[in-house]
Amino acid sequence: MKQVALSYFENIELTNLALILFLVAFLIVVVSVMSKKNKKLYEEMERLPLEDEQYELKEDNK
Amino acid sequence: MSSTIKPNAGIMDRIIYDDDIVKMFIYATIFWGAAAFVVGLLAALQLAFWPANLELEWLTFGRIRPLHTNAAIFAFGGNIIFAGIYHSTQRLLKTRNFSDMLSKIHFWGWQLIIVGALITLPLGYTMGKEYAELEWPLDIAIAVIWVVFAINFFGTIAIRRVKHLYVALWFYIATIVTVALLHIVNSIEIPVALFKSYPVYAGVQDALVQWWYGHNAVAFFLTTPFLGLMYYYVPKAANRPIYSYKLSIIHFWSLVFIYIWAGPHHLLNTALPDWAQTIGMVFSVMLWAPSWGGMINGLLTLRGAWHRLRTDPIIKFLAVAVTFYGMSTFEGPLLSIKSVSSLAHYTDWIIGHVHGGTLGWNGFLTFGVIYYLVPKLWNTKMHSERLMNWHFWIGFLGILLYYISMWASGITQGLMWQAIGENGQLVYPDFVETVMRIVPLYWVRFIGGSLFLIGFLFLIYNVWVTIKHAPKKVKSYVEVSPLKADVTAIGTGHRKLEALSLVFTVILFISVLVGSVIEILPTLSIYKYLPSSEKTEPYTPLELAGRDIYIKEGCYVCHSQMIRKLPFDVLRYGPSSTIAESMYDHPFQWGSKRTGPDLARVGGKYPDMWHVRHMINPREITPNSIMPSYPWLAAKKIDYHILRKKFSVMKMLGVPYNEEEVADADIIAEKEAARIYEELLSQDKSLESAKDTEIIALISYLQCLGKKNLSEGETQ
Repeated sequence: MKQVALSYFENIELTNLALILFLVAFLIVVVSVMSKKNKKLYEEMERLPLEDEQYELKEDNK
Repeated sequence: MSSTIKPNAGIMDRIIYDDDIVKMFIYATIFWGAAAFVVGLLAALQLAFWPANLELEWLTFGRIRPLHTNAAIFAFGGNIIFAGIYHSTQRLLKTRNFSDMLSKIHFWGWQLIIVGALITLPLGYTMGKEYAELEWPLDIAIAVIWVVFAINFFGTIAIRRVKHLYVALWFYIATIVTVALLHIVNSIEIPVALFKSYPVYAGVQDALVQWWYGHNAVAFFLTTPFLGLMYYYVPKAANRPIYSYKLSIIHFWSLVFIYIWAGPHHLLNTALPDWAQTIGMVFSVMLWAPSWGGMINGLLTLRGAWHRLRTDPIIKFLAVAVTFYGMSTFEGPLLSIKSVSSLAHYTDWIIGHVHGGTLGWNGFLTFGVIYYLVPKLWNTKMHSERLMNWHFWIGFLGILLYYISMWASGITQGLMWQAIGENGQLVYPDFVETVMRIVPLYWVRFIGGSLFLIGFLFLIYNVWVTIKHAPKKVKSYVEVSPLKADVTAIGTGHRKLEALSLVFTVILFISVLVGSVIEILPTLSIYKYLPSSEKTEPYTPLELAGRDIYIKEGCYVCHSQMIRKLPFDVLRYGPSSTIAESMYDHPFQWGSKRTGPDLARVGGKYPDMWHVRHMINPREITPNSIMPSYPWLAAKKIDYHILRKKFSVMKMLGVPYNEEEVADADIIAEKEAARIYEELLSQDKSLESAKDTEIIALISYLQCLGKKNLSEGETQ
């Protein structure tokens, strides 16, 4: 039953293709994240949660 | 809409954040947290001491365990998520929430749903699917309120004053999109009555969809939103940026892509096709990497501030929470390995694992966030740092006791189930023997849970006094932030930004869809490929009535109906369960825990009278049984009238009933019930009052389990 219903999942080329696709997608993410050109952006980004403090707690005067 | 006042002709904008909504969600978190913990404690007590249900059906384990899980996940967890999201999103985007009205509808709608759950679950209105027990009217309400939340959140993104979306917001977006997908797909059901419906999926399909949902409730309700909170509040509390922003991006994408595939690890060694089990296992093991990447990222944020671990209770709570995140995401993949699962599945090890995650990770992160937010929101200091420390240590000790006792209990019982002697027979053939051995550990767990609750009471007191002594007129936070040039030019720059977050959301949706479609789609047509020799008889009207009582009483909470393809399972319970056997089961009742024995082949094993006695008082049959007594089953009448409607819905869902069966369902059931009743009466005259009572229907159902598959000669 299983073989009939899902035989195409035993197709070795498809699983290999999936492996390559997933790996390539992952590598693209890693390479693009690690690339130097984004360095400045990340520095700016990681400060975001800390920045809002600068303006906070100023009393509302009206 | 955003309340912006312009005091200074365009140079500066003053934005008043909506913190009232955050406060409301924090109150709700604390209130429902207490409820969830108390109900959990009552459930834990019943396992150690069964009469703790006070012989009331509404307080019996099968009904309050779903109440506990729903309250803990969706009421306690849900409310702190919303509090954290509404608080941090406004600040990260430097704008007020999109709409105060939507925020209020979101808040009150969510609380009403929780009240609905609080009423319906103890009354026995349940779908019989774990963490998705709520019936269809509440399911619709959840979907509507979730959409309100989504509009409010994405609306806030649309009116933002900051160009880029910080990574915490990515996690929030992943939560909103994926939870909507999971909830809607898993809740497709056909109503029979106001509080009764049947899911469209049956048997193995329902199992796969349910655990795709169930596991991702953990992933996208208890993990991604809390990670978002971690990425915002840990840097805030430690006052330093996240250790590695790059790592957080990789953490995010790996997690959302991989998590969605992992559901089938809840169904290892079952009748689920092997390919799906293998996918579930492989992807679960892969989760190790991103989870630990995230944990390390959170912990190393404290670099250079480790001394605060000694002095600052908030940092303590957060650091321990992140450590528990690492613990449970180490244990999860381990448990997803097929051979480990064969030992751990259905045992308390899983309960321990889950509570390591919920008490340690979700609970302690929530406490850390509450202790961080309350002084900020009320513009004051926490009343007592000492009490915070007490809360930390008592709660921590509670978690340890809970975790370790459940490890011991699970591994003990798992090994006892597996033990096969020299002659090839089970060493512990009596199930109750394996239960008696772990009852002392149930007491330890109860103590652990009590400590956790006591710690929480400290929080309640501390927060209450803090708020009471806060400055009388609390002023809203005010932020003055210069408008960024690229955002002011509405029409060009702003439109572009909106498009970007849209593109982001679409990519995210696709990445969670890939795994979902590949796993679920083939299963939807699985019954077409069953060989014609495998024939399963659908339930008779009385059996279906009994099945609905089985679901109503939450029997699936403690009894599985799935004999795994494992020698010791087969030795104990009979031939392993097949796909065909549950093909008409809307919903499936494979279960996930064996506090009692498996029931997949209980049919015909004992006489009817055995079941009557056992239901009314299990200890009369099995001394030392910890199962509650169900005397009300012999008092409440069967609802025959609704059976026609139930049968017509089942027929619509593809169960092969003919027109007469549907039209005469109630009459057929009454006749069958009368036959069982007469036979019982002939054995015991005192059962006179049992005529047409629920126990008759339940017996009829239990006696058919394992008897429905016609291809198996020996079970005919």
